[in-house]
Amino acid sequence: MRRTYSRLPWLVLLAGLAMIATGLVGWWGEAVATPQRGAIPPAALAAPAAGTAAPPEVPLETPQELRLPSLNIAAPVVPVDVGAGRALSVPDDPHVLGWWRGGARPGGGQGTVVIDGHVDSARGGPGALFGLRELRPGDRVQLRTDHGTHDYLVRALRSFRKISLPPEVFSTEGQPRLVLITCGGTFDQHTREYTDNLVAYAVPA
Amino acid sequence: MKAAITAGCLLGVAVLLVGGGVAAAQTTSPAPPGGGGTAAQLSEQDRAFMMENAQTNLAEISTGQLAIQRASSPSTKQTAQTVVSDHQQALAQLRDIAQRYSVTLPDSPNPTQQQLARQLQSLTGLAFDRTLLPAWIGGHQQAIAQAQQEIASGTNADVQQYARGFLPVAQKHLQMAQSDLQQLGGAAPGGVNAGTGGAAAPWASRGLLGGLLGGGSLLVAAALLLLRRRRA
Repeated sequence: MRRTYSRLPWLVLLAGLAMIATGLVGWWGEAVATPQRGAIPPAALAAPAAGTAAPPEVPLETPQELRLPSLNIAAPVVPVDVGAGRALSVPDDPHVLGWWRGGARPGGGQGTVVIDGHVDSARGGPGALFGLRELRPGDRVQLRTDHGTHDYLVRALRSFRKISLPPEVFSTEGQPRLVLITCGGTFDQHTREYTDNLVAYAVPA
Repeated sequence: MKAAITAGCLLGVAVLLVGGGVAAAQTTSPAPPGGGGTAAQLSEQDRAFMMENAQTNLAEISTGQLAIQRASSPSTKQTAQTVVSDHQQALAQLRDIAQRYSVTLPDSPNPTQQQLARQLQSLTGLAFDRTLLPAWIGGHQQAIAQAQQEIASGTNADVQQYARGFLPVAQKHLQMAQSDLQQLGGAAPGGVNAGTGGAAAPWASRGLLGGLLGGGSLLVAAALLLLRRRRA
């Protein structure tokens, strides 16, 4: 009994140091694990020469459903607009994805098709893009429209601070791409918002 | 007392008369049609407005003509036709006034407006509309402010009358451009707020890090206290 008591301060000290070490290792490990995979496909293409003819009419395809077979995700897609504070709206239902109708259309031949979706919601739990951070370059993305299905291949995954999200993500010109956007990073309990946007870039397969 | 009131009334009438005279002197009579005006009949404000407005007209005509060819949205094309036609008419009126007062107007848009036109030359499709419409909105807001300034502070009746006619036209164009941009889904997004649950956040940001570091520190402090007490 006396022997146990004599060891107590050392045991307490050891437990305290172990807790501090676990916290620091966990923090470091997750900071390192922030997804930065693959090379971002550039949006920009050489500008057409001045005075060239007007572009051909593009088919007005509207996305209906998005599938990520590698993550076993299939979610309906509805059009969304830019809302307050220039934030792109997200459908209320966390299991439904939004397509920015002000951006490019699938099959249009140029520009970035932008799809966003909840990572989670306080009421609805995990959202349709909860697993987005698990996407890997080479994974397939299928976007079904009212005209057919477009296949894309994931090229890169990036995490950006929301305040410094590159405008090229929303490029309406240049190479045809698809971006999937959700939230990531740390979560501010005060504002109930994540600090980052997680962006997956894909190009037509 | 009576004398003081009479003196006060006389002073008031005098102030009104002088003030009226100044006000009358601030607005010059319009030049007779077909000539007769001189550059001296224009204030700095009148002259500055004429110069800026001529460049606005030139810029809107040039970008509007480009939009008729290149805009991807039918409503933007329609707006462009109205913009070109209205600004051609406005420019003709302004040139007429300038000729009457022997003022030489600029024959090209300002450098910023020229830069926009060059940028638009390299764009097609939605990118063209998305670049043009915010620029038109900004340009028309500026032109409206300039016309309002001329109406409020200009001195030449001809130029002010022109500004009064120009104002509702620019306001109409502004509304049309705003409506077109709205149809395209508004301006480009700046970000996405797509999570309110916090379940996807690293556990470190969910209070666990604070708990581990705080709890660990408390235990270390308690252990040190026990060790110190034992030595004493």
